[in-house]
Amino acid sequence: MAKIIIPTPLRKFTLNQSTVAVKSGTVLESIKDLTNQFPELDKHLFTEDDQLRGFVRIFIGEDDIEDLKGSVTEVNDTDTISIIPAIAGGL
Amino acid sequence: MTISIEPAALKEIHLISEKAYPNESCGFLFGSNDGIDCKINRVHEVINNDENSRVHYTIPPKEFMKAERFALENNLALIGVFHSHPEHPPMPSGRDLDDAIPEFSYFITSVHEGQAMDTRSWRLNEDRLFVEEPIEIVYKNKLSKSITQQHG
Repeated sequence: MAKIIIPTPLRKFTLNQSTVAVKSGTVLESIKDLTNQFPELDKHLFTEDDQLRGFVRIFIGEDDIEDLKGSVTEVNDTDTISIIPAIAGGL
Repeated sequence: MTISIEPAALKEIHLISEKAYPNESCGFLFGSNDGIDCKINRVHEVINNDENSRVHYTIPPKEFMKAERFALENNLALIGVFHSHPEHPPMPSGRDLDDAIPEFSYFITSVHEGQAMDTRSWRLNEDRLFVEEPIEIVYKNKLSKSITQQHG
């Protein structure tokens, strides 16, 4: 199992767990395993057409998956995935 | 959930917003959170490096990681973010909503001709819509008063 680190604002939806064990595979499969375990998270991480929301940045270790293969980046059992909000907004 | 802030922290938000004018400012809110009451006593500015900073702000993921680490090391809660709306009211825009995080307070300060005018706080509800949460200004050992009353 890989591990996902949950950012503070989302821990309410993971029973205050800061880390959650998830299936390895691709990044998308690991994140989907997280939302299967905690369904309330789904609408906050994914849009209605099932795309990751704009603020959701995913890192494997220190690497942004956008610099790897995006959502199909391979995740191994020893990997640590971080969900990091990229906060934005304005007028 | 109630939200309160010490006057010095609110003043700092206003000073940061005035300094950034006519661009948007942004930063993090820290304090305590017992699940019912959020009390803000520290703020940290994040330099808004968005390429269109007059109408937009961006806080990169690495700044978020630093803020979480700061909160952990100082036994504080990361409560939310603040930003400013130069020459616009302190109401969330569609862009604010699209990228909003649940369980976070979003302080927005309106700035008119370089002067901070009003600060409001917003939080996502279960339908992912923003709802205003009245801000209480906490004077130590004195009664609080609502910022919406103060400016209303």
